[in-house]
Amino acid sequence: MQGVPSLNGFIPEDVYVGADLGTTALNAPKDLDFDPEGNLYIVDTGNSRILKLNENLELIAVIDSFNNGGQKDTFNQPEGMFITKEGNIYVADTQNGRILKFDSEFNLVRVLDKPDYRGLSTTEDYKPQKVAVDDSERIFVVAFGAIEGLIQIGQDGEFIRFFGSNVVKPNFFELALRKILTKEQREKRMIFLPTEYSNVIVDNAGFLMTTTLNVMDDAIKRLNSKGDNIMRHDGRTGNSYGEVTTEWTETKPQFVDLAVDKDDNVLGLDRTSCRVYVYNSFGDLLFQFGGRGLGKGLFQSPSALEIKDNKVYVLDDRNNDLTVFKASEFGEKVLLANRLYIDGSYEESLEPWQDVIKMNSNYDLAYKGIGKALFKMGRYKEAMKNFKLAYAYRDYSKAMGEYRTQIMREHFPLIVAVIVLVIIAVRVLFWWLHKKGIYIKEIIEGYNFRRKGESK
Amino acid sequence: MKDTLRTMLYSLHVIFHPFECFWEVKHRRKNTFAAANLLLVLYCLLITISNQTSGFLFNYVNPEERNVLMDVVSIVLPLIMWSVLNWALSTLLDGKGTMKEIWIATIYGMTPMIISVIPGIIISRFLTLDESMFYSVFMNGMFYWSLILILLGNMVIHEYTLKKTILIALFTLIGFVAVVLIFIIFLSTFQQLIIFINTIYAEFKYRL
Repeated sequence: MQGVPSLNGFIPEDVYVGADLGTTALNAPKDLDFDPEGNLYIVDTGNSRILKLNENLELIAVIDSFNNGGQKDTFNQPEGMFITKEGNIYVADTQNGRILKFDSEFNLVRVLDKPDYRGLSTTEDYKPQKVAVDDSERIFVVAFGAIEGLIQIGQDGEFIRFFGSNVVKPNFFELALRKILTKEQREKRMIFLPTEYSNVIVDNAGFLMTTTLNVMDDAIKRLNSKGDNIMRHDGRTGNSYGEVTTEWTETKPQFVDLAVDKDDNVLGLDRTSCRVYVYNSFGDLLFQFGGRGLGKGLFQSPSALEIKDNKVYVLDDRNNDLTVFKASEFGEKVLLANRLYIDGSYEESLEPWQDVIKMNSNYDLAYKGIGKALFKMGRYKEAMKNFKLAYAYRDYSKAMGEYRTQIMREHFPLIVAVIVLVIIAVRVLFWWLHKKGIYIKEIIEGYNFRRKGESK
Repeated sequence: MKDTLRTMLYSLHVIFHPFECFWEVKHRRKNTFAAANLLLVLYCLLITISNQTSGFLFNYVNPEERNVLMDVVSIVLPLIMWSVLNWALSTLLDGKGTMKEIWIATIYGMTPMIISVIPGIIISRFLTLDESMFYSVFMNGMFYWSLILILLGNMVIHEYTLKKTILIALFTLIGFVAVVLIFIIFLSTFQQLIIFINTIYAEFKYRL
């Protein structure tokens, strides 16, 4: 499969460095988050502080210390934060090895120290990097080197369980090799460990969504309460996210952050290609934007991403800046059409999709959307044509089935007449051949033998 | 020409009477080689047409990546390899057939596949994915039938027992792998040689 450049769905609007925000330079910022009132928080990891900005990205407060039981306490390179719907703020205070729970005014509520767990990981230190809290106040932590999965802790910081671990897929070659090797040799072989999560967020429906580094498949997962992956990936790219690559390429995506917009589109931030990938909730790729570089709208090492009101905010921990993207005209059309399409209002989505096609005639999903609309209107033949352009085999098959029935119904007498005529014609032909003394069987079996004595 | 065409038509008889017909093809029919080659050309033509016109649901190859030459080569090359390798093995294991006869019998054995192409195109355009089973059963059935016919043809041509035929067929398939391997080695060695000659040439040009 070859990628064809598409129009940009999101275009860079502005880039903010520390001075633009009214403070000193950022230093390796690693996370950002919106609170329910629309204020934006930036976790400025290198400076061990958190910036609070209002909707217009003007600085409201700088939080670098807080009151911990009467004493002044500070962060030590926090890497993640999470704000619940009620406005409670959780900060993963990474180098201090603890999670801090604040109320919406940054008054400390509780300190959640290292949960008492014994893991497989080699690192003894507990370094929580990202934290997420679901609707029933369960806390999930991504900790450095915690290969067993997410660490689920209770409200008092007690360890509950490991949640939704990645699994190691058995490799046929390795298994075969291990049968042959001696015990000593086996012990010296590389150990295959599950990959750790790199980030965790909570989506609109309250499900956890995770990212995993350096895997080809299932780099983005949505976990149900059992810890199983329930991400839908009906799109053409299947369950491989990021750059569309062939199997033998070594570059693997490194998704570091996710965001979900109000239409359940999933945005993934990939550090390998420095791009943002936007998938709809069925798993079809809508856009990709960004790229590696120093210019506006390009990144060196993007670290965090948020979306609000069709504006995408991306942090870069090497450029130390915040880039704001807005949806382009094309992007807005696609998002609108996609919203209607996801809701199942195919007929309403017909017109927006047609506008999308006018702007980018290679947009697969638009053809699929148009096809579904036409299908619903009963224009099966046109639907077939559009599904074909979108390579939507299942839908094409369905439309063809309907079209076939339609044709059969309309032309039933004609079809029967043709069949009867053909049968009669064949009969007449054979009768005529019989009269002429010609027999098919004889022609096929034939009698063109060599004469005796003729050389081979 | 008329004889050739009639011999070609005889392939339809082969389908249901393999033992009798392969013997006839070997010993008694006229112009069998020309007829077999015509059948092969016909098959290549039909496959090319089929690849272009089969129904969307049963035609997974991207039209942009379609290569008619590759379609034809992928039919003819295995056939040539099969004939050569099968002959090379059977001569050592007292098979009676010549390379030409193996070639002819194999192509005659492919008749069910040749016949299946056009009905395949037609039904592929009318079936939905839910009914794809009919299509695959039909096409696969014809394919395995051909396989059996090829095997029987081989058996008649060489005057072998069935067991021996199957054994030699398996050896031939192993031979395929060996040939491909040797070909790759040969190719890479040849490449080295060309680079070597190039370098010497460049060296001479530089010095003189």
